[in-house]
Amino acid sequence: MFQEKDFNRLIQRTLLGGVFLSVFLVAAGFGLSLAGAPSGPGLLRAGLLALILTPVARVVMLVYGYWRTGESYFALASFVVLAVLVVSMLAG
Amino acid sequence: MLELTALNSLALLGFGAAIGLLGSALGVGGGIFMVPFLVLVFDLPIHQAVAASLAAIVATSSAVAAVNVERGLANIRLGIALEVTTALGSVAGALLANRLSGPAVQFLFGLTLLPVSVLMFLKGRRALRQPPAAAGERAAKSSSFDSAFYDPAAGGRTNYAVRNVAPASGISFFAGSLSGLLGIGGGVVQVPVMNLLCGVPMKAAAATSNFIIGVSAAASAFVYFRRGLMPLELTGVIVTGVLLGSFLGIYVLYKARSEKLQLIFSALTLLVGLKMLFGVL
Repeated sequence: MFQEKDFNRLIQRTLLGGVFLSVFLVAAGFGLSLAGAPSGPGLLRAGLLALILTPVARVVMLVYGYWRTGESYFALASFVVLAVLVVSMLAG
Repeated sequence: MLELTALNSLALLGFGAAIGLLGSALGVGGGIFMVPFLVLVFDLPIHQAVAASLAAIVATSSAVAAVNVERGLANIRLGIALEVTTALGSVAGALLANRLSGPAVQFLFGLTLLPVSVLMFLKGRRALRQPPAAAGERAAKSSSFDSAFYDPAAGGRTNYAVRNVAPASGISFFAGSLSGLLGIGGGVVQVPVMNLLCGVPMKAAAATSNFIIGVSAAASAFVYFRRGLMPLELTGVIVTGVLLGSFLGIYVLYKARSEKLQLIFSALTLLVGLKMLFGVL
């Protein structure tokens, strides 16, 4: 049974996962840049991209979570937000 | 391109931490301070400053929301409902950005913040003088947005009913469009709207606002990122500082009294409003 508590944990893990992945990549990027490795800037860039995509991943989890709990109104609202995000990212 | 020395990296890290602390405690991203700081102190072109600031907002929002969601402090249902119009507004604002004159937007923005800051101040001061009302005193019609959280400063669970979601959604559209126009998260509008209009307690309003602003900032940040306007190294340093400050701020927010947050917030909005007005006049 998918409960409110599981839902909150899912959202929390998604957000923390994104943040920690980003911090890890940014730190590795800085480290390699200082060491003079050519892959440094690329990792730094990937880290910031991971950060920017974290809220998007969170909205995806909201769609999934509200679909699982059967709250169709909130699932729809989350889906609209996701759609607006994707459209603005593709068109911007 | 700005040369990142050990000294100014440290300054950026410290400033980022201060912004993160402020942001997590008050539910704002701090873009309104970050942009002028980067432009005036670091001589960064405005577009790069906005890009770095947006990334910082995403960082605060994600880190703080993760913890607040688990604590039940952020009202996810209210957040996602307001996000719909915020996201639409953010796109509209980005489209409008070229058509409306900058000073006109700035003037409107500053003008809106002044009455908000006065209302927040009065409400916060009244609440500080009176003992906190008993839970469930406002027996309003219940809605699916109603929520509750454990408040250690009040020493118990705080239940609250959420009112006026429809008008709040309308104002969120405005907040979102500001984000698209000015490169801020819009928390400075969202927090008072939820607190004054919807009746959400200050702490929950700050936490929910923090939850919302990540989405509006991420949409704009991606555009800047793709156009290569985001200064990678500088943003990396700021984001690291912001994350440090955010995690620290989470504990400050949790323990502080709501009314004090309200007073600090009203001072902040007044400051920002005046700055915006004087910027055009």
